[in-house]
Amino acid sequence: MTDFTESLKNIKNDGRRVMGCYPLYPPVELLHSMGFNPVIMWGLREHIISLTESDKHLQVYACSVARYMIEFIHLNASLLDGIVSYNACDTLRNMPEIVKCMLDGHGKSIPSFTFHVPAVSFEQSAEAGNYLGLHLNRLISAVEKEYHIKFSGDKFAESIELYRTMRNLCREIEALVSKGIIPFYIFCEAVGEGYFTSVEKHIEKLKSVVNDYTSNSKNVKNKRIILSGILNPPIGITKLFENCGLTVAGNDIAMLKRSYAFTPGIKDNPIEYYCSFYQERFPCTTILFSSDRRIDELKSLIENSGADGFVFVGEKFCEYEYFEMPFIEKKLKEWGIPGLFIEISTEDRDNLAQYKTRIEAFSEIL
Amino acid sequence: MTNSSQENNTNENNTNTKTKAGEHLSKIMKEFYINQHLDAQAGKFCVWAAIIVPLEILRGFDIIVGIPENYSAMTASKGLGSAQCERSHQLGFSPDLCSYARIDLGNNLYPPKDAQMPPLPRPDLIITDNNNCSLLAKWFDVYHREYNIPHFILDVPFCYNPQDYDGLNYILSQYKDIIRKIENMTGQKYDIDKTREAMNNTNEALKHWKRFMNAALHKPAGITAFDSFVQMATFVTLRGTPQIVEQYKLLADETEVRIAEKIFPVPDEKYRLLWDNIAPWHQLRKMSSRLKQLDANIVYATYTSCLGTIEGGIDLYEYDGVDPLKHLARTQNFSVCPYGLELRYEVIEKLVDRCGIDGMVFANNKSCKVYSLMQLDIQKRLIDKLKIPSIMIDVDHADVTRYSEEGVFIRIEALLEQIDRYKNVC
Ligand code: SF4
Ligand code: SF4
Repeated sequence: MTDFTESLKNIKNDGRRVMGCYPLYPPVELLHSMGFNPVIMWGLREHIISLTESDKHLQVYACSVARYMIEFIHLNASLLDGIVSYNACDTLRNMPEIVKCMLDGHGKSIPSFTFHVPAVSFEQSAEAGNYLGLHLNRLISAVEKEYHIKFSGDKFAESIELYRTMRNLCREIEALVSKGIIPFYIFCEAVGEGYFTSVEKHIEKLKSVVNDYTSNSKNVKNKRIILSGILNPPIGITKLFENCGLTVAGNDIAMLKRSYAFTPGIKDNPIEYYCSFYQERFPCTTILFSSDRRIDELKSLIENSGADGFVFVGEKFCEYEYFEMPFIEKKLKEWGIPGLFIEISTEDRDNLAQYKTRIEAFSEIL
Repeated sequence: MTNSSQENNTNENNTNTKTKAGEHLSKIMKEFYINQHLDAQAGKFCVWAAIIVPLEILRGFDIIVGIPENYSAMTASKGLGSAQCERSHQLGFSPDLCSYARIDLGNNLYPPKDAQMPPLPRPDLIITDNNNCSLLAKWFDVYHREYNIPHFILDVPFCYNPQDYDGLNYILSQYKDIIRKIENMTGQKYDIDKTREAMNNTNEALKHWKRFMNAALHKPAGITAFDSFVQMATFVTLRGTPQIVEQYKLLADETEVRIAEKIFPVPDEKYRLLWDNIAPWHQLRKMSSRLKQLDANIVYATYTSCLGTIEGGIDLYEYDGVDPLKHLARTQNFSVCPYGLELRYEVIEKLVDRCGIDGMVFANNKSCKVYSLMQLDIQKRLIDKLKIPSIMIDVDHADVTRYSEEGVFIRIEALLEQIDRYKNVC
């Protein structure tokens, strides 16, 4: 398994600054174009052993994303040149000051930048676009000032193209996973590592995954499932799916599809780019106004992938996901698609046996 | 229908009879809920609004305004909260969600046949905001889908620093969107003069509120925080109306008379405590009377100190009578959750100083993460900077199954002993 601290050191050895970004959808293209290597600090459950520092600052009912993130920042503070966050969710909006307290307590300090992403559609509130623009301009100015650098439209356009390439490759691999050619856990690992490396290296990694498996044209007749949730399921669980003869035909996971499904067509204007990025992206439970669209997307995801079942692997204490589940369950019934609902808590990393029977039983009813 | 005060009213004098303000509160809340149902039967347009949505704007229309959060608090104070939570679990909602939301979803989507309290009239439109929490928007979105009605979300930037000019204008622009939305849906013309009048009422009422809250500064305190919890219900439902002016005037006047007559809720008050989090609705009477036996009084709460303030403040941010919408936008963040740790600490520091606080009770409330998540760091800072003893107790504001009275009182007694030690040392 990749050591993320080593990854950060490698980035720094390559001469780039590391910008730690809070999940879920920070402006990575912008930060990359300004000379940073953005790393999105999620998917850490299998990389961090104890939460000693986190427990001093966050109650155990905070979701695992927040708890691991604060521990990660603590462990890697000397490797982070800055931290960027936005109001992604109720928990994350409270974190910048908690992280500051944690760093202060250790006599450390990391430049921190926050900005506001409107939680509403521009259709409802036309001014929301201008307000986002204002915040992005403030973010750019603050970063320019802190690091004595200048934003460049040309560089931004280059960064967009790199991220577009990366996301296209993710979609290509997703299709190969859906055909049963690439194991889902390989895909999860490749995407997960990408959050802690440079986009250039991530592209190379994804290409090598494609190359390693394209000669493999097995025609599997597995049952097909859609996976949903915030984080990639723990590797143990993804392997369980495969061992039970289930192919991941598609996903609606925030770390996967919700992140790579969409890159705006805009070329070099950051304001226009991010207005489109946050308004038109693949729906997410945290993008408040996109809930209605989400149901339609899930329906077409199920139909287009020929899925036989739907598995939700939820983060314990993530209200965003919780509120939509009963409605999705109702819809699944209407569509005749069986659903399995699993909830993973912070402590569940080493305790996956309990899920085995449920996944086996589910695969049998499909 | 009754209101929380009738079951759990702490606004009683020493002979345990209800105060005039307590009686008046019950009366106006009862009228409020009865009128809502009569208006709904008459076919009036109904909006469900989150508690921080400025009701003064909605008073510019002839519509019904239902406040689900208040209804949940009332359900909890009548001891019905856990049963309704359970019904929401049966609908598939997670037990880890905020208990207000669970009660409300139980109340509306799965009401018991023999419901003691009829649900709020069905809404035509939902208006929420995300500055208290975005969980609210997700919760009300359930009704948007179930009832197939529009849901307007007021997007309010979270404040790490006091609100700035652009933030204010952004909120103002959305108020105008709300007005347009209601005009389009109802065919009514918005009447800003009614909002102006409502703003004047709110401002007047809040002056009386602050007068009432100042009774806590007296030693012994003229009120307990529990009194303020009960009385807050009127603010979240009747903001902008003449009834709230009348209620808070009566309340403040009566409280001042009681102080003059040396009638105090905890006459032998030895410990003055500050509460941080939402009210423990299911424990108002029990907790206040057990504290009284210990000569302890939770005199003030961050939860109720915030009415009429701006980020980080504890004093009334007065309406200048010029532009009601602008004033509402400026005070949009009055409740505690829309602002960050630094500003929240500022509030606590000011309250500790002004109220002569001996110790602090942090209610660690798993149901309300936005209120609770920063408490560990605030508590540490409080001890480091002010040397104020404090405890963290587990309390769910509306779900009594997540509360252990004995466990909590063991900690409270330990806090009082710690205060004694501090007092002896100093
Ligand atoms: S899992 Fe949910 S609560 Fe946690 S950071 Fe992600 S969106 Fe926020
Ligand atoms: S989580 Fe807290 S702020 Fe949000 S609705 Fe519940 S009690 Fe209110």
